[in-house]
Amino acid sequence: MAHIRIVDEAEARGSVAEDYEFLSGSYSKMLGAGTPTPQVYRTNSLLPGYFRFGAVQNRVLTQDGRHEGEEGPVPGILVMFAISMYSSCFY
Amino acid sequence: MLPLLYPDPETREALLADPQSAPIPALHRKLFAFAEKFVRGAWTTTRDDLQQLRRAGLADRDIVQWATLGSTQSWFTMSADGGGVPLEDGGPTGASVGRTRDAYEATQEGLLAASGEVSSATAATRDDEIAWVERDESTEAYRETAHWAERRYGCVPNLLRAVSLQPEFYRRHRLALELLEAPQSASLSPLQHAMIRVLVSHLNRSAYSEPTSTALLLRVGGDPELIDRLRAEPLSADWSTIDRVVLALATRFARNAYKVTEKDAIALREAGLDDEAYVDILNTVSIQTSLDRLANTLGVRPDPVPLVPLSPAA
Repeated sequence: MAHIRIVDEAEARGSVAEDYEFLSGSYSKMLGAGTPTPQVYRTNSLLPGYFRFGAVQNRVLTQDGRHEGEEGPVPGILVMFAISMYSSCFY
Repeated sequence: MLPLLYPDPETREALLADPQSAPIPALHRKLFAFAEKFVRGAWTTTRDDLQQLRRAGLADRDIVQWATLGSTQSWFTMSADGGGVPLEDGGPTGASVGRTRDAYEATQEGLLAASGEVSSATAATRDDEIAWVERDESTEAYRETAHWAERRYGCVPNLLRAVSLQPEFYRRHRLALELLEAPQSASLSPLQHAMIRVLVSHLNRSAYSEPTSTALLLRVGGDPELIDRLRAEPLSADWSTIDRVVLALATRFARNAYKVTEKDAIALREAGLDDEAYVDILNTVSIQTSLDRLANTLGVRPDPVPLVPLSPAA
């Protein structure tokens, strides 16, 4: 359970509903149809501005959900994993 | 996500034990070392650290990409830990790495204690430079962002100029700057929000963001004495009950988000604040920290003027 109240897809309205739809679509493209919006975004669903920030970050990282970027000499997975590891983030 | 990068289980095990002795490419070892500094003491990054990455084969565009991805991931990790996010069912996006939190905690506490009250290494940035990396201000994305910033702040923030080699991230950085200007809920007062920003700038030793944080606090009714108190005694018992809880939670997010538990959320509610305030505090800390780490890592000079909107409608 998250520490705080979550606005889920059924309750979401306006930009939060739009962002839920985008995020689910983006992750579905990567992981398979029907993948729900990951938990890490949901903690911010009470405040639309911050929820939008999470969605914008995903848009930037995935070329607006297309996942067509080319990997350079710095593997994105390495950066994400290393930052998580040194942050002691087990999510 | 780790098996995608290192399919061999023994390599992964060695990596988790000690990245610097693991059988991974030398560049990867440098990137892990860079990540450790980024998370635990970005303010100690020096010009020579970036030079070492160049010697290892990275171009400035790669270095800016690394720091930008690190900044983005910083927000994700703090959101996950600060919000008490459970692991995904089936784990498609999680990163459970198998080491105990206690081991990490001991390491991080030691590094924090050793870091003391050092100043940001960005003091070494020369007067005639914006940052320690090359720039490309010829792109359409840069020009559009510069125009937006001139109208909003009366200048182009040095941070935005410093990351011009990765222009696709501009929409993320712009939204981050906008969100940091004011609380996003009615549950947190503008003064409390500005107090958090001053505190976090100080905890992150951010020479870049401190002028803006203090200017915003003065704008919403704070005074120099309050700024001094926030820097010297953020956890003092002399604050009002609500401010004490807010500042303690912000400190916890900034220093050790992985230590946050449901008790922290309960303490906030018992002080009279709601979950909207919790989300506001968490994001103010995590967005500010993500930008502070980026600025400290790239050696970004403070802006010529604080980033205070010229008008509310800007």
